[in-house]
Amino acid sequence: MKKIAVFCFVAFAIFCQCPARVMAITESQSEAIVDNCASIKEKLRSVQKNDAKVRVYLGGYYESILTKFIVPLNVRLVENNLSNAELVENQNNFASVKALFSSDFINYQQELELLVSMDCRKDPEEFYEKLDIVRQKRKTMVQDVLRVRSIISQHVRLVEKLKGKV
Amino acid sequence: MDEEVNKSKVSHGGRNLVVLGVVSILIALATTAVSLTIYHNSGDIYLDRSRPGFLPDEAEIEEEGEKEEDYTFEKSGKITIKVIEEYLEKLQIEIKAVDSYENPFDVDVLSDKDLGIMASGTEE
Repeated sequence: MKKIAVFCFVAFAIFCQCPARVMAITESQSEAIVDNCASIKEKLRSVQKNDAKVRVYLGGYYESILTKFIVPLNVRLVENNLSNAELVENQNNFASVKALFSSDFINYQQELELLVSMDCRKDPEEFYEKLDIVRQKRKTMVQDVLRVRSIISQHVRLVEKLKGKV
Repeated sequence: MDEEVNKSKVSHGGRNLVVLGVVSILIALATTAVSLTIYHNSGDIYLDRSRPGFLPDEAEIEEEGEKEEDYTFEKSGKITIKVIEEYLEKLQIEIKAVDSYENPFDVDVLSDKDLGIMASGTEE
């Protein structure tokens, strides 16, 4: 009896985890995907190209901020025996979120690439499911950008505080 | 007489071969130039540059930057309030550039409405 109860509990727990991924697509949405397939793909390609530009633009500035500001400042602080643990931690956080930004972008672009290559006329439901995955990946990119920005703000606050110590 | 005709045929063939080679090279150069122009103007170049390992390197950042001057904080030297203020001032220029990109990866561009997946007569 006990075993059955445990089995039921585990089955229920697994069941609760799964259905969230099943996308409900209405008949009219399905028709819209089939009818506007070409224009949807065109928009997706345009989004893809624009995102790549954003990646290059932001990635360049993140690299610049890390290598031309944050790292040299920490090196100089160590040289002056003013090493600050919070600033070092901030540098590590920045580097790891920047790396995450890069890897998340690759994942996002791979999913978007798959979506663009799909035949939306053939299987609109599958197309819509994939679109939802791409949307989630895109949200992750927004979160990464916000996290980097938050770390930069924290860095500025820490450097402001440093003024009182020199 | 026959030998003379044969000789002239051979030398003609060699010249034609050279002309063919030169013309082929010119065509190859022209088509490559056209392809690269399309590759650049279509924006596909940005897709490749956004792949791993293609982050703009230092030299590229210098070229692309619309910054007034290139600045790198010195790794050595005394730390004074003036130095920190200058650091923050220069850092703000980079931060402004980052912030100037409004809504990066805006999620709305993939909405049903923007993609035209909305059922006719319905709005989000």
